[in-house]
This record gives sequence, C-alpha cells and structure tokens, in this order.
Amino acid sequence: MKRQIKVNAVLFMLGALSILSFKSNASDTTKVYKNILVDVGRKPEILDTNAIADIRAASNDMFAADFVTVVYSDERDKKCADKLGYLLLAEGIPPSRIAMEQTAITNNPAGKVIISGQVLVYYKASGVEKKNPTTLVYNPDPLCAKDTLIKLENGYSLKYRICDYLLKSGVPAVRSIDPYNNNEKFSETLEKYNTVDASSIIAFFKIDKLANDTIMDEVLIPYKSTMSAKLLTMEYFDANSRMWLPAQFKYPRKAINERQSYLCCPVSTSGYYRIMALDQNKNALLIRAPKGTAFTSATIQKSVYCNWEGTPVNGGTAMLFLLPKLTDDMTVQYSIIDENGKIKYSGVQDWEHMVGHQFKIKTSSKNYGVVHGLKVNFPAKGYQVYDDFDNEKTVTLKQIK
Amino acid sequence: MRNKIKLMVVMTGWMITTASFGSTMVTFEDAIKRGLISYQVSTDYAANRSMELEINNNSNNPVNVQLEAGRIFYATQDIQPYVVTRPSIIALAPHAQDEVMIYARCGNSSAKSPMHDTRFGRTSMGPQLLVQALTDLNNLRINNNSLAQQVVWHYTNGHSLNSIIVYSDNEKELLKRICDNENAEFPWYQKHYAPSQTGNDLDFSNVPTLIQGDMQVVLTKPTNVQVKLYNSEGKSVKTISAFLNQPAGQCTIPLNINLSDIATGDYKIVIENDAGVKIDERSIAV
Amino acid sequence: MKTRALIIMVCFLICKVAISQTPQETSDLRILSFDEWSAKYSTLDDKNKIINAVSICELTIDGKRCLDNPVEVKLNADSKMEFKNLLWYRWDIQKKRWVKESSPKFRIDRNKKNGAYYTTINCPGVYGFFSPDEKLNSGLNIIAPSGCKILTVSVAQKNPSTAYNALYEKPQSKINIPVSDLQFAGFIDVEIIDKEGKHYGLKKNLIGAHIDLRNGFDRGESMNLKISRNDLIEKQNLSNK
Repeated sequence: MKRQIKVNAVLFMLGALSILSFKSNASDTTKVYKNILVDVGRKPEILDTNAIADIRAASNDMFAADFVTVVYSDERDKKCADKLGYLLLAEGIPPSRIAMEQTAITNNPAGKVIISGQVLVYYKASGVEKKNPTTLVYNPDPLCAKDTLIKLENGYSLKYRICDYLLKSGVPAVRSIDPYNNNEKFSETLEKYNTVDASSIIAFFKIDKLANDTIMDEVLIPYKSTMSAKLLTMEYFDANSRMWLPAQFKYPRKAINERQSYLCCPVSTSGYYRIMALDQNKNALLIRAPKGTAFTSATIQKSVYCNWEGTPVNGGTAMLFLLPKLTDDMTVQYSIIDENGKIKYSGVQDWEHMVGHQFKIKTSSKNYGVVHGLKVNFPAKGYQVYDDFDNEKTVTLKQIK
Repeated sequence: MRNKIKLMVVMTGWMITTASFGSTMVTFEDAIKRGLISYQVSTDYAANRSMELEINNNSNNPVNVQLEAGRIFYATQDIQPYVVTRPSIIALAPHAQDEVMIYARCGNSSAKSPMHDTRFGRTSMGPQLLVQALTDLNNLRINNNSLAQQVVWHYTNGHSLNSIIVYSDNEKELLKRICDNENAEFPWYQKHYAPSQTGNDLDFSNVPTLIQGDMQVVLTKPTNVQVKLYNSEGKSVKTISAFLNQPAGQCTIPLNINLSDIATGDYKIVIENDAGVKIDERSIAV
Repeated sequence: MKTRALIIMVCFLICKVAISQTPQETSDLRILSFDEWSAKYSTLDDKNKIINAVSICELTIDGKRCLDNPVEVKLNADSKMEFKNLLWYRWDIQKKRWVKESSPKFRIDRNKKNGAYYTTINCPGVYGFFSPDEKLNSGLNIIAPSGCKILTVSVAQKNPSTAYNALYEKPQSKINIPVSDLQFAGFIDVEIIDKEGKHYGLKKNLIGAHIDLRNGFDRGESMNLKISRNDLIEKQNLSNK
C-alpha cells in the first residue's frame, strides 16, 4: 500500500513537472493563449449568463487544449472559481486537465492582470490549422505578401516569406562551406563524389530547414562580373544515392536587390547545394559523327557516380558535352545511325577507342552549331569519331513513322 | 520555482476538492437505476450544440453524475435520437437542478432532426464498438463535431469507413483504432458528402460529392499515366486525370473524383499507361 | 380539374424517370502517340508559327457537350529545355491550327525537386502542351525536279517534336516549310507529280539522307532541299485502284 502511494506520488510529480515544463516552453509558437475573464458579481456562487455562454462557446477549443487553468486572486472569489470548474466538468473537460490556481501573480502566461472580484480561465489553444482541402485558407495578413531578407556574415542572404513559417517550428538557416577546407565535415564526401573541378565551384552552402514542408526560399549570393561569361548550374547532394544531381527547375539567376546584384538560387529542401560556373570554351567537348551518320544518343561516363549526357548539335550530327575536366578514364556510350535509319555503330567503349583524331574548328568555318534551334558556340577544338569501330553492330532502327 | 511549487499545491488542493465528490460519483446509468436523478432532454439550436439536458438530484446528498459517451437518448416520435459523443461530469447539490448543454450527435441519418417540441423518452447505452470509438475520440482529444457525427453514423446507420473523414494525425489514429476494433483495413479513400440543404449539421444529405485518396504505383520506366473509372460491367466510364511524363519509380497518384456526374454504383479505379495497359486497380463505391 | 392534375403528375413522373434513366455520359482521354498526331496535326499556331509539341491528348465525350467535372491533366516537368515555359493549346478544326488556351499553372511538387504543369479539359477535342519556338533560320525550301510539281509534303521529327503536313490544291514547283531545326533522324516525304501524271515519293525518308546538317545554318538562312529524279520512287496512283 505504501509502495503504491509512493508510485502514485512519483507519477503525480512527474505529471505535474511535465505540465510545468510545458507551460514554460516559450519557444512553442504553434500555440497561443486564450482567456476568458469573469466578473464575480455580488453572488459568487451564481455564474453570470455571459460567462456561461463564453465558456460554452470555447468549450470545444478547451477540450483540445493541454490544460485549462482557473485563476483567482482573492479567497472571496473561490466560490465563483469553483463554479467555473464545475461548468468546465459539465462541458466535458476532463478533471485531470483542469487546474485551479489562487495566485497573487499578476503576470500569468495569458498576459492578463487579475484583480479581486475577477476570475480568469485561460488555456493554450492549438494554433495548427486543419488541412482541409475543401476549404480555401485565405490569409489577409499584409505581412504575408512581403519577403523577409536575412543577411548573413559571408555576404549571402536568405529570402523567405515570414508567413510561410508562422506555424512552423523555425526559420531556415544557411551556412556557406569552403570546399578547400579539410576541416569541413563534408570535404571527404566532396572529394569522393566530386564530379567537378573544385575551381569551378563558385558557391557551396548548406541549408537547414526545420519545417518539413518544402517551402520555396531563395539563397542570394553576391554576383560578380566574372560569372557572366560562364554557364551557371546548381546541383544538390542527394544523400540517398550519394550523388550530386542537378537541382531541377531551379536555375540560378541574376537578381538585383537593394542596388546589389545577386545570384538568386531557389531552394526547397534541406541539404547541400553548390553553384558551378563552367567555362564553355575551356570545358566543352564536341564529338562529330562520321559523314552520313548521326548520333541518336551519347553519354560520357567517368564512374558510377557521374556521367554526362551529350546535347545533340546540328540535327544530331555532333554531340556537345560540357565537362568539368577531360580525363583518360572515361567511357562513351553511344548510338549512331546511317541515312537509312539503321544503327551503324553502338555500344560502350573506352574513350581512346571511341574518339579518333582531334580536329580544330577553322576560323573560316562556322564556329557554332544549333541546339534546339538556338546558337551554341563550339569549343576551339573537338574530336572526330573513328569511321571504323571494333564492335560494329548493325540493327534496324525502329521507324520514326 | 517557488511559484511553481505553490501552483502544484493549489492544483492538488482543487483535485482533492473534486475528489471529495468521488464518494457520490455515479454513472448516469446507475443514477437512473437507483432513482437518484430524474432528467429531461430537449433541443435548443441557439447553442453550438443542440442537446439540452435538464437534470435533477432527487437525493439528500450531493452527487456527481458521469454522463457516458455512447449513451443514446431516444425521441418518442420517429425523430433522430441523440448520441452523447463527449462525456461530462455534472455536479449537483442535494435536490438541485441543472441544465447542461451536451455534446451529442444524430443517431439515425435517415430520420428528421429534433425540433424544439421533440420529446425524448428512454435512454440506453449504444453498442460496444460505438462506445469504444467515442471513448477513443475523447482520449485522443479530438474536438471535430463532424468527425464525431461520421463515427456515430458508421455505427447507427452502417455508413462505410470511407465516410469517416480524417485530416490530422490524431484523427487518422482514431480511424486506425476503429479499423483495428473491427478487424477492418484502413480505408484507402475517403468519401465526402455534401452538407445538408437544411443547414443543420445533424441532418444527412446522402449526396456524395467527392472521393479522395492516394494510389501508390511503381513504374518501371517513365511513362504517361491515366486514372480511369470503370463501371461494374467493365466499361470505361470516365477519365479522371492524366499524369504525363511520370518518372520511373514509386509514385503517388492522387485521386480527386468529383461525384456530381457519376451515378451511384460500384466502380473500379484503374491506372493505365498510354498504351491502355493496366498498372493497378482499386474498387470504390459511389 | 382532378384529371388535369393527374395528367400533370403523370407527366412529371415520366419526365423524372426519363431524366434519371438518361445514360450516364462517358468520357475518355487518350494520349496520342507521336506517330498518331504528327500525321494529322501540323505544329503550327494560328499565326502560322511553328511550336514544339511536348504532349498531345484527345478528349472524347459521349452523351454531353462538355463535362461538368473536367479531366485533370498534370505534366511532370524537369529541367530539360523542352519543358520550359510550356503553353496549353487546343486544335481548332476550322482553322486547322493550334490555338492558345489559358496558361497551365506551374507548381513545384511537395517533397520533390520536380515541377509540374497543371491544367484541365472540359470539352471534347485535341489538346496539347507546347513550348515556344525560338528558331534562328527561316525554314526549309523544297524544290521539285524540273518538270515535276509538289502535291503534298510531310515532315515529322522528334526532340523537339514538330510536324508539318500540307496538301497543295495547286501543285507547286518550290515550297517553303517553316520547320527549321532539322534533325538527321527526322522523317520527310513529298508527293510529286510529273507532267505525265505519275506520282512519286522519296526513296529515303530520313532528313539526314537529303540534307547535310553538319555545318548548321546562319541566322535568317533557309536550307535548301533540291530533289533530283534519282531521289524518287514511283507511287501507285491510288485513284487508279
């Protein structure tokens, strides 16, 4: 029996402490205090009809609240407080979640001053909106239409809409990462899975979003004139595949804000991002198919972690690759058709077997090609595919029409 | 810290005060059987709930009456009964009378809702599964009146589990418990009904408006996917939606089927690729 | 008076039964394959500009003019060029051209990196997502061999997907078709008639078999395809069948 009492006492203390710790959790922004102030009147044992109506109107909210507290400051008001307590019980609020408090503290969590002759009922109402797709949630708060700009020490800025985070547990945080710093936790991964020359990385950052929702925010990076001649791409590190993947539909673009030019990088999920500037003249590779043939596809593969798909140029008669570096350990997967639509050459070959002699694009000839109807500059040098292949393979191409 | 301790003491004090009622805490069932109380139920739509319980303590002692969730109050005519959805404790002084507004929902979707002059007579507890579901609803502190109504109709009128519309995690947990209690599978879609034209949320419109759900499919290669509705004769009735350029891998196909132009009956939702090859199918009842 | 009321009642009931027994309309959305649509529909807008097709579908309705509840169409888009700035068009049967409908909404998917275009279809017809064409050159000139004239022309190519089909009421010795970014693997065919009334088609149907695309083209430049007799193969005249 004594042991049972002890257990009960411990349980009660734990319960009470958990309640108190909940009450003191000031960082919880998802809930707001609501209160009903009741004037005691001359007969404290009889509740005012307005007070009853107010309690009844709020009883559904109070039922979902973690705690409902009845506060009075003067012993003379206790009868009224008790009556309010009984009303809460009749309204279906479980007794375990009703607290009665006599206190001289005027600064209670509800922010109301209680004087003699008044009783306060307060509770924390849940602030989380119910996601009902049939109801359009319209937020008329003008603040919601504005972007908030946070400036960070490294010159980066983060642009986000404050309203998107009103009911979330925190705003996003951005940290820039130095790819050359060996102390960075990420450097090992960077080294192992890197698909680019580190010198081409112009920005490398990590964004942490506490909210689970994929809200679109923008990281702003100071824009430099040297970026203008480069092809800018953004990639994110996919933790599942351990690969850098293109951040799709999120092209970095130039934006001007407060007279300062920024590279604007829209991001939606937490993780590592990097912005790269590839010098097209330095890193472009053009491979031409033999006369009377054209590529249907071509991919350069360096390792299981990285490959580059070629862009067909001039109707597929050449493939253009934008590579960070040209190395010997590459293979090319390709398919080439002839004028009859039959596959003339196809397979996976080592780079050296695949590519024949290097050629220079003559200054007298056109130094650009057409990709999707748009002009694309060729690199100064390119490669020509050998006419004779080791593994020649001829199959009929599926008719286009 | 001193304030916190003081608060604990005060809280304990009030709990003891309420506990003093414990000696005479009786369920509504017991109180009726022992003749401790008499009651009358009436309807007052002025409040945010309509069931008003007038209760009298016939004894010489104070009594705490515990009104149970799942208790049904029947009307004397062919009018909806009230099913208590939220338990409450009514503290009554000796020979005192109180009027309490009760959280209760309609217990017969095919009957008319109570009016001011509706008379109520006998009372009894509802079926065990209903009581269990409402107890879970309250334990999970769900304060959604329309959800409570859907749960009640599921038991009193055999409305399908699909008609229980859940949004929050708590509400989903409730539905999971209901399914567990009935050894039923968690419904893969939800069927919404239009609100009653009377404007009274105790009335059932019996007009289905929308079916919502998700279907998970695995695509072996990128493809175009279509969601089609087939009738019980296996004839394609309608294309609901098309998902073009759907990437390979596992994908969620959301369903939002507006039912206003679909006749009542059993259908199959079929997910097809653009060659008309079936990828997956599920049954639905409109 | 009673009889009249009875007649009205009966009429009302008959009408009600008739309404309730109206067979439910059926609707079907079919996504057209490249082969299907490229043979029927040129990818030209109502200003005769070439547009690039991304996806084309056809809605058929049996029993009603338009649907109360539209078919929802979502196109998953990635960063490829053909998925940028997509527009939603409907095939106008009278104009025989694609006309712009209200723009599809673009949204980034929750929990995903990809974006998607959303639109709806209420009424029967052929619809499609297209991307604007920003071509440099001014198309392809096709010149018939001397003594021959062009009756019909068909060009269809993928990546980006374009099609041009024309039937000339008055046969032409030279035509210009606005398809510009020609692909080696693209399909081309012309129907040519000579003075003797014989019909010919091309022996080889790949664009790359007729035009050297390796050097590209300049801004404003048009490409020429001069057909020689050797390129042709005689067709059996269908009207003689």
